[in-house]
Amino acid sequence: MLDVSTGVALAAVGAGISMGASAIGSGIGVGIAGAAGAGAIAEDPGKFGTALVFQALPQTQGIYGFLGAVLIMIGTGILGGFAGFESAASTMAGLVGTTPENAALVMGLAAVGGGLSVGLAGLSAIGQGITAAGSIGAVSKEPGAFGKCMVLTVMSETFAVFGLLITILILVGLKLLGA
Amino acid sequence: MRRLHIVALNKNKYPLMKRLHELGVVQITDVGRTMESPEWAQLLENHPSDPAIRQITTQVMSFNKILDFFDAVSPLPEDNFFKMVFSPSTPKVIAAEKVYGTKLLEGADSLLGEVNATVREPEERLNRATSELGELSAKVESLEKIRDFRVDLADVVKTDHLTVLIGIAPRERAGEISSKLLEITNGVCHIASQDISQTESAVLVATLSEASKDVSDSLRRLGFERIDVSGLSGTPADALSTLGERIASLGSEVESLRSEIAKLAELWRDKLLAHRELLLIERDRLDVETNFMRTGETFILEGWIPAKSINSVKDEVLKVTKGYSVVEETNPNTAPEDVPVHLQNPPFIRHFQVLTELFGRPKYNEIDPTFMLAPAFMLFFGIMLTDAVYGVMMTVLGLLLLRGGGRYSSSIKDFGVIFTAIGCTTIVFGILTGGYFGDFARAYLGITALRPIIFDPMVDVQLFLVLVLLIGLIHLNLGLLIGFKENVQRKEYKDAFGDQFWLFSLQVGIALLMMDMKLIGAVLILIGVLLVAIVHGPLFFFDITGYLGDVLSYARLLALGLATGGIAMTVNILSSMVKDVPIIGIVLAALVFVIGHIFNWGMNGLGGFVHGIRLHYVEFFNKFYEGGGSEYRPYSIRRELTTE
Repeated sequence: MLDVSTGVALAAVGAGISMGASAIGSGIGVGIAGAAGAGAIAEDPGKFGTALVFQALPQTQGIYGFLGAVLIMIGTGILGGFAGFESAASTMAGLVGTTPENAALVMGLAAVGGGLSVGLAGLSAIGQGITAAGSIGAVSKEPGAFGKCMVLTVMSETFAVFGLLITILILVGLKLLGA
Repeated sequence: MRRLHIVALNKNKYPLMKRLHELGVVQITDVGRTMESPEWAQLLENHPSDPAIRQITTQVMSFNKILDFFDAVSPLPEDNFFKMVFSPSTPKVIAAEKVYGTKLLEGADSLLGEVNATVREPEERLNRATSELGELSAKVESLEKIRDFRVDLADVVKTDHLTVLIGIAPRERAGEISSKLLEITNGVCHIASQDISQTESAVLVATLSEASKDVSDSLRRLGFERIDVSGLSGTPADALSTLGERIASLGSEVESLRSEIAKLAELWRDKLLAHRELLLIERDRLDVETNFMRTGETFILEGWIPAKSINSVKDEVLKVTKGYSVVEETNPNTAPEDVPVHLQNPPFIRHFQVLTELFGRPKYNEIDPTFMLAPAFMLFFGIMLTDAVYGVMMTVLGLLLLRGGGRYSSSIKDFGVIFTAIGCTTIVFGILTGGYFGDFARAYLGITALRPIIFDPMVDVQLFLVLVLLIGLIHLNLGLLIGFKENVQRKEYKDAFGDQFWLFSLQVGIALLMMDMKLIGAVLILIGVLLVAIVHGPLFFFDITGYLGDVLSYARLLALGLATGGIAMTVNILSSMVKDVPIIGIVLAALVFVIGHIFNWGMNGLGGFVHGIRLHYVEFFNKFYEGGGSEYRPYSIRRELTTE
């Protein structure tokens, strides 16, 4: 029996932060956009489609967080429970030539780092929600501004994309994925 | 685009404008706005608007009134959103006579007279019947409340001496009412009341007419609501049945009137719609004259015309005016912002114009980037969705749009073509990277033939990253090349070197440095940095970091590509997990699978679309494109319903 429980715990924390923090971001962002959407719909129910598209944009951070969590769970094997993690740790130990305990610790910390990256980057959805709210107002008044407002709103997402990218690179770089 | 100037005789004005309207290639502009020299201003006066316009406006309003009435009585069936997009009904086309000018106006008047003669009488009868119906139903409603009150309504009268009132009062006030009335009438008053519900009583009051005013005032203060029963007799129940009969007969009268009017609508509607459109065309034709200037016998008009149409328009103008006109063309010399832009793209590329125009129409002297945008957008979307089945879904959506609303609406057609095109590139990328509902085909169906052909994005992430950054570099450099060429053509050499050339030098320098040609590399890097430092001043450092950011931004292609595959994989895992639930497991699994994949397709399709656009608007256009040109809107006939 290997003592890899610290690694499992850390991996679970990583996956949790990934989904949890980005869900905070997306939830708040979607909420802000939705409030503006409700205002626009109150004046003209025909604006529902526009409001919905802009409200959907801050949701992507939550999806990235979800993806990050799933990738962490696949990479550390905890999708297959404790046994899954154990076997992943011993594979990793063989791969890099260290003890399974060390490998488990590395995997756990990589998961925390990856989770922090995409999870905290997911808070960018709050900013995106603010822009989306403004855009709903702008497009309700001037439908021609749809494309430009879309671009303004997508700007915040750049950081969430980079957050996800770094998560993936950490997981790949430390051989949790792709090996 | 060329500037067109025409001087012609006033007597030829109408036929000339009619011909130009039919040709539909000249965008007419206000002459007065561009006349600057005082000499011209002395010679010319503003062209007044045609008095016929007012007449046409009145006629159009009368047409609208009748058509609105027809629509209210027998509305035309209308497509809902999904029907409009996927399977619209054939738009109506009405053959119209070739009439114009005074003949059209006279025709409109006589048509109006004819329609009004047949429609007005049933319309009035319908209005009368509907308003009487309204009154009767209000009466029925209040009579219902006193249905069981034992009284002959014929006795509820107002004569010179006697006034009888009937109504409803709050039940707890019935006693108060009778004591109060007896007090103010000194007992010359009869009050009968009967409880009709938990809270209300029916009250009958008979009093002398001379006291009736005081009586009604106190009754009102005590919460008494009077019921008007004039013209009714018998008990309330009898009156109600009489009223019911009347309402039924009125209802059938309204029905027959409506069907009569519906028949009239069927008879006249098309004629009215066609005539209204002809009137609107005529008004457009006359409205444009306020842009002209004139002398006693001549007028001058100016406008924009595409270079290729100049000769044909010239010939037509001379023909219509029998040679009594001067037609001149000049090159646009005003600011390019004022020159309207007529975009001409090859058939397939043309449909992507809508994406360019969302950012801004090209200016007159600017390149139209649509020919670059179309292939790159297709490529980017394909990389971001990377799933063959999702690609098929996208293509099917596009084809449905083309087969449905695309037949009649040009903007639905544009999106039909775009969806079909990006669907096809998604299929290609899905096949190359082995994505069929994520890993469904390989991991669950065990079809090994559907393995990745070039690489598996989930495994060779580094390779994927290098690939997308390389695509980004190529894309950005294409933009830089176009910008460089444009700047050189406009002889803006400073911009050409400070905005674009320095980056070529810098990039080649870095490449050489990495290939161990250190000296040449370093020199080229230095040249690049110096160039931008000289042209842009001390803040040049941000140009360098900005370019780095632009390149890194293309990494989103990787992130979104992996997101599609990753979420598809998760949906598959979830679906296989619920499969083991007893009895309903298989149904639940199918449900999770279908909803999950449709959600993933929708969200990542939207993501791929907006990020594909964003890469163009922010990173790519930034290198060479400004936009902000005005649309070419020729003076032309706008027909929606009629054909000649």
